[in-house]
Amino acid sequence: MSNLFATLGLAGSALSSASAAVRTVGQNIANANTEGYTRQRVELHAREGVDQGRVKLGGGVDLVRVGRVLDRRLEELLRGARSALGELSTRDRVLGRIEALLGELDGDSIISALERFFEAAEDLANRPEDHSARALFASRGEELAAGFRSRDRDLLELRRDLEREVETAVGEINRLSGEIASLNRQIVAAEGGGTNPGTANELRDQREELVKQLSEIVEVKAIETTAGSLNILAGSDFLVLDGNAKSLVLDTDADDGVLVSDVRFESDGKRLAIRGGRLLGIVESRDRTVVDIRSELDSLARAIIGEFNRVHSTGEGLLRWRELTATTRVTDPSAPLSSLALVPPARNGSFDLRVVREATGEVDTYNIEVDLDGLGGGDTSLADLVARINAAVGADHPTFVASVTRDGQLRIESGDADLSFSFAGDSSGALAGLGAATFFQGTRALDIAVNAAVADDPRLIATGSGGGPTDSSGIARLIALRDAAVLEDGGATFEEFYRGTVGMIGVDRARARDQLANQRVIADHLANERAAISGVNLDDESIDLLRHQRAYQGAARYLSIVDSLMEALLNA
Amino acid sequence: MPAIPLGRIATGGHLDLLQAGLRRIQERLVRRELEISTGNRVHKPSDDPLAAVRALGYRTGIERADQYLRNISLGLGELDAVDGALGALATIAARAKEILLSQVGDTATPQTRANSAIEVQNLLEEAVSIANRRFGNRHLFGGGDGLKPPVSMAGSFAVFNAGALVEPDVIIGRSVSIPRSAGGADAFGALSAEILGRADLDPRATASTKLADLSGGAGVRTGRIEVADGLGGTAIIDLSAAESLGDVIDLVNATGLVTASISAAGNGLELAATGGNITVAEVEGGRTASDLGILNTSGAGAVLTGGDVDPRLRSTTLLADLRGGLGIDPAGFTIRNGPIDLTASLAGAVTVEDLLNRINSGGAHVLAAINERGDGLDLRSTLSGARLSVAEGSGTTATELGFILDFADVALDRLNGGLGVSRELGDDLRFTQHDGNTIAVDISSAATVQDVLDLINNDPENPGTLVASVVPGMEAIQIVDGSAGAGDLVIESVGGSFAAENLGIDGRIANPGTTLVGRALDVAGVQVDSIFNALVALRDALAGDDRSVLGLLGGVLEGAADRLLDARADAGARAQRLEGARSRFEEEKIQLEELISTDRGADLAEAVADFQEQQMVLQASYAVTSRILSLSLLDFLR
Repeated sequence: MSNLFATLGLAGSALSSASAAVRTVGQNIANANTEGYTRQRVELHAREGVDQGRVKLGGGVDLVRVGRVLDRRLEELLRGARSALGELSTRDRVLGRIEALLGELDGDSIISALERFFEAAEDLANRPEDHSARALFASRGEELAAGFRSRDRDLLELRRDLEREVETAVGEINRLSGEIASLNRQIVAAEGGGTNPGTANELRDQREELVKQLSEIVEVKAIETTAGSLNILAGSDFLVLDGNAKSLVLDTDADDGVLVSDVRFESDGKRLAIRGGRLLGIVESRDRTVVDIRSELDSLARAIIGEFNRVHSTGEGLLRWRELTATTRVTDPSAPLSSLALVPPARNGSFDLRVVREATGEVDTYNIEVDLDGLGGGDTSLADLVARINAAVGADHPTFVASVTRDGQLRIESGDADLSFSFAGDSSGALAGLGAATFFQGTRALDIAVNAAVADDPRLIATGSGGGPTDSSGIARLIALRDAAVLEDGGATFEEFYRGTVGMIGVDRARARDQLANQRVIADHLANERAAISGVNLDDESIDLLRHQRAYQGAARYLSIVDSLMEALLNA
Repeated sequence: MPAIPLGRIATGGHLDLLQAGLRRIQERLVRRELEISTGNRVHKPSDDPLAAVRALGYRTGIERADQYLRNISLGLGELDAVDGALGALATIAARAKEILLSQVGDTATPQTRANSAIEVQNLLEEAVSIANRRFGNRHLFGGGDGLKPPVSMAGSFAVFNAGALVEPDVIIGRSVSIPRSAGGADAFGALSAEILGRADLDPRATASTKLADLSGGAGVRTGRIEVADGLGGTAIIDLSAAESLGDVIDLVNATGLVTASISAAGNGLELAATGGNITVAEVEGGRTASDLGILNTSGAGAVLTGGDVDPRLRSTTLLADLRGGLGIDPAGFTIRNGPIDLTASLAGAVTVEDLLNRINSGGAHVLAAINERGDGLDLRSTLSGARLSVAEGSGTTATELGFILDFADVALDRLNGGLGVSRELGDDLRFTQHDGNTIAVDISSAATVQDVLDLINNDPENPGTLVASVVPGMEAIQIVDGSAGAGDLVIESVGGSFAAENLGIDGRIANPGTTLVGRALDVAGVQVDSIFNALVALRDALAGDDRSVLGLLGGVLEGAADRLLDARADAGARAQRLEGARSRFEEEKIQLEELISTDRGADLAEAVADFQEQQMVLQASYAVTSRILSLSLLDFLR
């Protein structure tokens, strides 16, 4: 009798393990499309039987645990691939945005603005006396300047956006590491510190999914402890240690007009090691790609400002100057001009100041020396220059006064409606650097603009060199700059330089796109491999279902036979 | 395309694969569609960076060619107008010649001449209006000062606006430009050809003398020099930042090795040391030391005196620094230009520019400027029909400035009050010496008095015994016969020429007299060789019934007509050049457009074929996908 009862127990274990297996299959089918779900399998052990004389009869089946089918090495590779994908897609996205905002191949670009500017210059050379040609030239100049400014502002805005992305990414990291830490605690508790594996499968799946999300943002290493905790390392610093997450903070500082943050640990202020992931893409784009392209734009803008102004300041238009306030604000009027960051920089030389009495056409020329040879300490400052002009001109023309404005600008007034002035032969570049009688003002892409005085009165555009209203020698010198190799130490014209910049962005973007495509292939491949191991195949599950169904049916049949055996025994 | 894993395939993964495949095909379809609809293969630089950068260059090339074509067609239009104007002026010159021929002979009377004078005045006015023709809103021949008419009438004379001398250019290619119209000065000879002022004014070198002005404006190739004092001390001095001689002196003195200064002669640099032997050498094949005149590798003792650096004249050069530091006599001089007398005083004038201002703004229709060589001043007249001359005031100012020429340098055309010297084909003069030797001289190639003297003295028939020269202190020629013989010295004109009479040397000196002192010749001022000048002279000669002058005017009118012809030919040559440039740019544009489409453009045949292929692939994929999706073991479970 006792044997028969034991047989009942055996049938019971078969029934319960089959139903548990069916249930596991059900769970797998239910999660066939769940992101990050790991296929589960029941692990059955034959139960050890009891001795019966010389033989030992089997005792049924034990459900040892419900395990996850998982390749840990693959998971790690997958995390690395996610990091690389995060970084490259950010890079590609940023370069794509830069490419679009430069907009070079079609439509409104710097090169076409430069072209239109030079075309207007040639039309002006054909008709220097024509007011509409002058106004057009000034407005094309402003268009070019605006092209620089708007692109620079867009790039600045892009940098701000990237800074905001850093903030968001850091928030994400903090959230994810917090959740991972909390899952660590739950898993350790559920599994009894490793004594009871398989009791926290879903929590583990969740945790792995979170680590994957974290990897996409920043490259991390994950190390599992025997107790079941997953410790997360960024570089050599723990982001998550057992049940604790170390939160990150932003250390914000201003850089060239934008707020830029370093990512640091809140606890000890140590900088987060960013070796990969989206955050690396963001930070590199913010601090390198965007900064580089801005500096390229700055170089071009600076060359245009410097070269044009150098030529323009020593020409003459339909009108000569009667009063002039230079555009450059000098911080220290008593500092030598060579020590100031002028565009173009001033050097040892001199220029001619020509004072013209309009009624008679009489010209008085004064050679003003700009001593910047660094010898004897007598290097010329703005204040010296003003004193020199006054000393030279004052005796002949008492109304003629040069001064320094409150804002540190050179100011010259003829003080007499019949007295006008212009400049010639500036070998020092000081006039252009100080912004006296220049066409452009500003020092870089951010602030380049047409000199307001010239824009207001295009008659001041220096089309000639003093020959008369239809003298086009001045504008011809400006046009000659089109083919002058003034950038990269005399290696490139304005246009060639900028074409190089556009080509560079194009090459970078193409490379980033190719790398991204390759990385995607790798990531897809790894994901497929993972799916092959840990993913749910409905056909497999159906067969398993059938298998366990049959087992259950068999056990039930066995039970009824045992039952009939017992009945037979009892009724005997 | 991710590799398809062997073995187990997860259902979800399988679906992902199918999805990715469909996406890829669709992406390619969209790209092809864009290619077909825009005709372009490259839309962003990253699509094909190399092709994109090339295409940018080509596009710029096309835009530039367009601009050059615009410039060229403007230039051609202008040259067309120039040609028309010059043609009209040529017609006027021809008509003037006809009038001259009809009035020079005996058939004409003072009355017909007076009538013709009125017609010539009309021609003159018409010529002025043609010269002032406009192109757009500026004057065709106006040059740099094109809003002002280039020629205007001042009383009975025509005045040329000096601002029209600057001639604007048309840009017809990268760094290629040509003058946009035949300038007025060329076209109708607006300025006096002969220039007063020949003296080398030789400005002194000072500390503020610019290096760029040295060697007559050739400048200094600044670089490094090596200075040694011969006592073991050497220094390499970098002069590349130096702007003036003062900077050079400062830089040399900063070494403490030698002391530099302007030399005592005032024309260069001087290096001095307390002893030793100063040498100066170039560094790495530079030319700085030699350009500064201080190259001396063998040594010159304790003092090295540099050579003459020959600075160029600048408007800011001090008058006191001229003539090697002797300066200019401030007494002043008088400019006489037709009816206008201008007394130019130098009192208070400090710089060359002050002097130029005094002359140019005095209303005498003269243009004074530093000459092209940069060593003297030019004085030219812009007044047609009058003569320009300069007379000394109480001192020697004009002579020092070179405004008064030696008689030997005077042009023959200016002799005899401007009527010149008659010259015919073949020999003009014949000299018969004491020994009976005759010398026949053809002076048709002579331009100045000196040329005539040279032709006489160097004639192959002249054994050297006949010497022609200028009478010292006079505007006259003298002939000295040193030959021995019994005959008289006879000088006469031959071949229908009046050269001997015109040169004031016709006559006979009876033996034993050896010297014939010619008559003083009336030297007229310089004049403007223009069509206007010819017309004014013709008008005045007709009105004054002056037949001797009329006889000389034929050549003057012919000269004016020739000058117009030359200018027309020049305009034609420029137009041809422009036409050449036009066809070149049109060609270039076509080539560039072709290049762009090869680089950037889509291969339509390929794009369409691929589009269709992808379409088929997509359809097949749909069919396969739906077939696979509908397959499941679950369908067969009961």
